[in-house]
Amino acid sequence: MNSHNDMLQVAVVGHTNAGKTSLMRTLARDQSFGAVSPSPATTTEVASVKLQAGGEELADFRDTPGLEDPIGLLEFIDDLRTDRRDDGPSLIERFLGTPEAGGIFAGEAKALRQARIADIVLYVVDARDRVLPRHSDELELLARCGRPVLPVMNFIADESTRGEAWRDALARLGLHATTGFDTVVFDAEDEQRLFEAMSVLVNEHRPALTRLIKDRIRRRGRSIERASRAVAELLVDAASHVEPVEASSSESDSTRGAEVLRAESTMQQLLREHEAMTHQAIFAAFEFADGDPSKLMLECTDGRLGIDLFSREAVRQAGISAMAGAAGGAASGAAIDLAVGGMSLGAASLLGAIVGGTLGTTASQSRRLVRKVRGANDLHVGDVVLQLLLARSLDLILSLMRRGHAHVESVSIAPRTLDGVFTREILQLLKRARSHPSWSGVGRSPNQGSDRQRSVDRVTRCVEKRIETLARGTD
Amino acid sequence: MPGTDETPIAIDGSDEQRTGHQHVPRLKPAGLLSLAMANLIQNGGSRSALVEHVPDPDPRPIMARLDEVASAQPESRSLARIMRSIRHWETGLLVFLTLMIISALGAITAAGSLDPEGGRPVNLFWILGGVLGGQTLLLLLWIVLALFGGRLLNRLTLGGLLAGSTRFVAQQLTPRKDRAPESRHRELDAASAAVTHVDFGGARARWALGALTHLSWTTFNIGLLIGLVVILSIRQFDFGWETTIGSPASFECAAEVLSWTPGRLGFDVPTPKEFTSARIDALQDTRPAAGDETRRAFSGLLIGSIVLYGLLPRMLLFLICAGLWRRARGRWRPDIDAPSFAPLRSLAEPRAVAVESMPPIDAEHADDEDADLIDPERSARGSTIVGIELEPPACGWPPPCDATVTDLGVLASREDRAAITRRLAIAEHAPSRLVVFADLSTTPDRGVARSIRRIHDVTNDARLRVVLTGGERFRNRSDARVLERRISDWVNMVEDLGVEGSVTELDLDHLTAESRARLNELIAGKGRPELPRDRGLLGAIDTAFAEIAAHARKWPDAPAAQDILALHKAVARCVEAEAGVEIPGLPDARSLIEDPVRSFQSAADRITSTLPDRLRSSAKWTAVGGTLGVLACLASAGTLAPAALAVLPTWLASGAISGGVLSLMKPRDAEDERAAHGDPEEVARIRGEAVTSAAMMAVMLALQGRGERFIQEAIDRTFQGEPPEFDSVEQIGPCLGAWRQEMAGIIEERALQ
Repeated sequence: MNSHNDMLQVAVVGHTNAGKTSLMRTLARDQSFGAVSPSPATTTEVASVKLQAGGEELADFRDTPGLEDPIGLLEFIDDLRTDRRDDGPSLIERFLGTPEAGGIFAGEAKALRQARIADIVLYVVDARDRVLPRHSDELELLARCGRPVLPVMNFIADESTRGEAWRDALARLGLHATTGFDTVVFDAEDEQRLFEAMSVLVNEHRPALTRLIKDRIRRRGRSIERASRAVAELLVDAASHVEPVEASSSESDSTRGAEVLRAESTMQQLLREHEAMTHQAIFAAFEFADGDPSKLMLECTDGRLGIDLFSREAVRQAGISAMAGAAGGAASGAAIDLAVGGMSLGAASLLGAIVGGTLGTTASQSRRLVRKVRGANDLHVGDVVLQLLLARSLDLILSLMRRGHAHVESVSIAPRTLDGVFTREILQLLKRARSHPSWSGVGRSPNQGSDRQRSVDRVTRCVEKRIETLARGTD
Repeated sequence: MPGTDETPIAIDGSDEQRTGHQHVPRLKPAGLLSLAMANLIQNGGSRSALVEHVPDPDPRPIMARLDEVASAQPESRSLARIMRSIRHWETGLLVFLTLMIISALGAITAAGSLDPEGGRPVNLFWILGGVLGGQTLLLLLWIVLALFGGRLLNRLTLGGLLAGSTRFVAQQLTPRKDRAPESRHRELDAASAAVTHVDFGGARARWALGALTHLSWTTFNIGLLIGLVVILSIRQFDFGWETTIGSPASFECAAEVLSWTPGRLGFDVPTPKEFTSARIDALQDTRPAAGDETRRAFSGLLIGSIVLYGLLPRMLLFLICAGLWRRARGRWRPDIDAPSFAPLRSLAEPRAVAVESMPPIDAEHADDEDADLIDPERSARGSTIVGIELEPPACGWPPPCDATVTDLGVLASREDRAAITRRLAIAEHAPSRLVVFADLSTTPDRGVARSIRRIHDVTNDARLRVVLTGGERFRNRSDARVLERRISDWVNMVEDLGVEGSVTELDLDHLTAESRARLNELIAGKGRPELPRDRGLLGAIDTAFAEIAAHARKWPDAPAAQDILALHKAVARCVEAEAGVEIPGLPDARSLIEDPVRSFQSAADRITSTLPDRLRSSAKWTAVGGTLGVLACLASAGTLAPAALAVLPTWLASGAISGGVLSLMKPRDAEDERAAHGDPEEVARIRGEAVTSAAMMAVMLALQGRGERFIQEAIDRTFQGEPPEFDSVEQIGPCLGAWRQEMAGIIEERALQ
C-alpha cells in the first residue's frame, strides 16, 4: 500500500462523529483537510497527512471512516470464527477478505485495514459522550488488530466533558495510557503530551516524535513572533499616520468642519483596511488563513472583524463607555486628536523631530512644516483607537492560540477591557512613532528605514511579552 | 517564469497532489506583491538560484513555494516587467544622463582651472589643489564614514529617492499615450517599492551610495582628464610654482614625492632641476625660458597626478563598492516573517495532504439478516417504548405517560438488542406503535439504524415514532445549525428505513405541561397533537405587551436596572398566568444563590443560544438576548433577586457576554447616570434594549414547549432588523403593535397546518 515503511504510521480511528478528521485538521494545522460535519459517515475515504519537521516527513497520519456499527461488525466477525485457536488478527484478516468488507462494512473495513498496518492506533472518543457498550466493542475490534492503541479524548475542554468517567472506563479495559486532546480548544501542551504518549507506545519512533515536538514548540514561538510583529507594524503605522486636512482658502468654520470630517472618514477607512490586513496576517501567522478571506472564519462584514473598529459597540465592548462619554459621546469623535494649528501637540512634536531629525525624514517633515505654516491641520490617530487596535489584535491572537484547526465556527473578538493594554514602554515607543509620519504604512508602503525597523522590533517584543502574560493568565 | 495559473502546486516531489489547494488565490495588497516580486526579480525568475543561496535548510521549501505562488499571480508578469525596466534600462538611462552631466562638469572645471591670468604661467600646485583637493577631502570623509559610520549610511533613504526619480524619468520619457494608466499606478508603486527594497534597503544602502559616489567622481575625473588633454594639446601653457612664506626646499620635496609614482608609470615628470628653475619670480620676472621639454614634463605631472590620485582610487573604490553592493543584493532574502508576507506564506507553508484513492464505498444495502420467524398474523395493539443509547432522563425511565405501554428498556449493547428482539418476537400481541427514545447527541449512524430496524422488523409493521431528547444538553455543546442538521439526519435515517415513521424533538429533561401532553399523544397515538391553546397564547402575549407598554410609559429617562427587572417580572407573571410555563434550562433559584456569577453566565448563554442565527450574529441582538437571559433568570428567581443583584458587579467583572448587558446592568454611579440621562442616544438605546428584551421574553415564555425550531422561527420573523431605539416613549406602542401583528400571523399559520 505504501512504501514509507520507515515512517511512523498512525491510524486515527473511532466511532462516527468522534472527531477523527478534526484531530487530523488540528494536528496538521490545516483547516481545509477533509470534511467535518455533525452527520454520520462524513469521512468515507482514507486520507493521509504527513507531519513534517524542517521539511522532512516524520509521521504519516491516516484519517479513516468512522466505526458506525461496531455491534454488528463484532457479531459478524465472531461468526467467522471456525477454530477456537483463531486469534484477533487472523479473524480481522479473514473479515477483510469477505465481500461484506467491501459492502455494508466497507467503512469499518477501511478503518481496520489501516489499523492493521499502522504502528500505532489513535482511538478518538468524544469525551462528552457517555461510555457505552459499543465503545468497548470498538476497542475490542481494535484490540484484535494487534496494534498498540492510544485512546485520545476529544472535547475535554467542553463543560459537559466526562473525562474522568472515560479514564476510569478505559482503565477497566486495560488502557492506562490515555490522553486528552481537544481538537476545537487547542492546547499546545496537550499536543505535546499526545506525542509523548505515542512515543512511549512506539519506542522505535521516539526520535521522530521528539523532533516533531521540538518543531511544534519552535513553530509556535514563531507564530507568536509573527503575529506580534504584525500587531507592532499596525501600531507603529497607525501611531505615525498623519491625515492632512485640505488647506482651504475659505476661513468659514463650516467648510473647515466639513473638510476635517472628510479627512477623518478617510482616515477611518484606511485604518479599518489596515486592521483587516493585520488580522489576516495574524490568522496566517497561526496557520489559519488559506490566503482566501472566506476561509478566515471571521465574522466578516466586508473583510472587517465583527464589530466595526469605529462603532460605539467596539468601544463599549472594550469597557470604556465611561471614557467615551466623558470625551463627548461617539468613539469616532473621541478617537481623533485634532492638532489644531499653531503650537499644539502635533506642531510641538514636529519641531522636536526636526531638531533631532535625521536626513531621511527631513524632506517629508519640512513638507509638514510648510503645510502647518499655511494653516492646514493634521489628523492623528488617537490613543483610544491605538489601544483598541492593540486590544482587538491581542484578543484575536489569544483566541487563535487556543483554537484548534477543527473549529468551524467563526472567530469573534470582544476585548474585555482596555485597562493595562498599553505598557509604559509601548506608549513611549508609539509616542516616538508619532513624530515620524514617514514611518506610516497606512494606505501606502512605509519608509523602511532602520529606525522604524528598530521601533517595530521593540514594539514586537513588548507585544510578545503582553501575549505571554495574558496567555498565562487565561490558562 | 515558472508556474502559471493552471499549474497545481506540487507538494513534495511525489506524484501525490494536494487536493483542494490547486487554486492559487489572488493576493491583493500591493506591498505584499512587491515583496513577492522582489523575490522574483532577485533571481530573474529562476528559482534554483534562490534556493541554493538559502543557508538554513528549513526555509528552503517555503522559498521555493513562495516563488511559485508569487509567480502564479496574474499581476506577476507585468510587475516583473516593470521592475526589470526600472532596474535596467530606466535606471541605466538615468545614471547615464547624470554621468554625462558630471563628466561635462569635469571638463568645464578643467577649462576653468587652466585659464591663466594675463599670460602668467599656470601655478601647478594651485591647479592640483583645485581639482584634487576637494575630492580628496570628500574621499577621506567617505572612508571615515564607511569605516565608522556604517549605521548612518545605512539609514540614508536614498533608495526611495532613486526609485522615485527613476519612475519619474521613465514616465516623462514615455510618450504620453504610452504612459501607465491610472490603474497601473498601484503596480508601478509596488514595483518601485520592490526595487527600492531589494537594491537599496538596509545595509545595501551603504554600498549603493558608495558605488554611486565613486562612479560619479570617476566620471568627473575622466571628463576632467579629457578636458585637460584637449586643452593642453591645442594650447600652450607655461607651468610654474610660487610661494610667499613656504620654503622652496619643501616645495621641491613635495614635487619629488608627487612625481615619484607617475614617473615610475611612464609619465613625463619634471626633473628637480627643471622644477627648481620653474619657480615664478614675479618681481624679477626672471621666468626661465621654458622649453617644450619642461612644459611636457609639467603636463605629464599634472595629468599623472589626476590619474593616480583622483581617477584610480575612485575607480578602485567604485569597483569594490559595486562588488560589495552586488554581493549584499545577492544575499538579500525576503523576510518571510514580515506581516506583509503572511498571506503568501500561508499558501506556501509545506502542508502535506495526500488522498489515497480507494474504490468508492458501495451504497448501503438493507441488511436482511436472519428475519425472525414471527407470526405475521399476530394482532397489533398497544404501544411499545424503547430507548437507544439513552442517558436516564431527568423525568426518569420510563417517561411519564397516562396510557399503558410496554417498556422494553434501554438498548445499549449487543445483548440488549438480542433480548429486546426476542422479547418482542415472543409477545402475544405485536405493538402497533414503536416509540424510540434517543438522545440528540447520538449520531443516527448505521449502527443505530440497524438496531431500530432489527426491533421494527419483529413488530408487525408498527408505526415508528422517534423522540429525540436531551436538546438542552446538546445545545450547550453546539449551536442551532448543528441541531438542525442533527434532526434532519434523524429524519433521513427514518425515511431510509422505509417504514411509516416520524421524528419529534422533545426534551425529557425539562418537561412542561405542554410537552407532557405532547408526549402522551406520541406514546398513546392520538394522532397529531392538537393546538387549540394557541389562541390563548396570543392572549398571553397581548397581556404581556400591554404590561410592557404600561411600564415603558413611566420611563421619561433611561430606566434603571431595577425598573427593567420589575418589567421582566411582570411579563413573566402575565405569561405564566395565561400559559403556565417557564423557560426551561435557566438556572433555578438554588443555583442562583450558590453561584450567581455562573448562573448569570449560563442564563445569558442559554437565551443567546436559542436565538436564530441571524440575530445571534448581530452584536446588538446578542446583547438583548444576554440581557433577557439574566433578567429572566432573576425574574423567575422571585424574592431572591436582591441577593443576586448584589453580586452583579462581580459577575460583570468576570466578563459579561456583551457590552449591552454590561451597560444595562452596571450599577451606575451618579456621574454615569447623568451622562446617560444627558445623552438622548443612550437613553433611546437603553429604552429599546429593555423593551425588546421584555417583548422577546414574553414571546419565548409563551411559546415554550412548542419546539425549539418553531420558537426560533417565530423570533426570527417577529424581530426584524436591528433592535429598535426609542427616542420617545410614544414610539414604543406602535413597535409593540407591529410585533404583535407578526406573532398573530405566525400563530395563525401554525394553526392552519
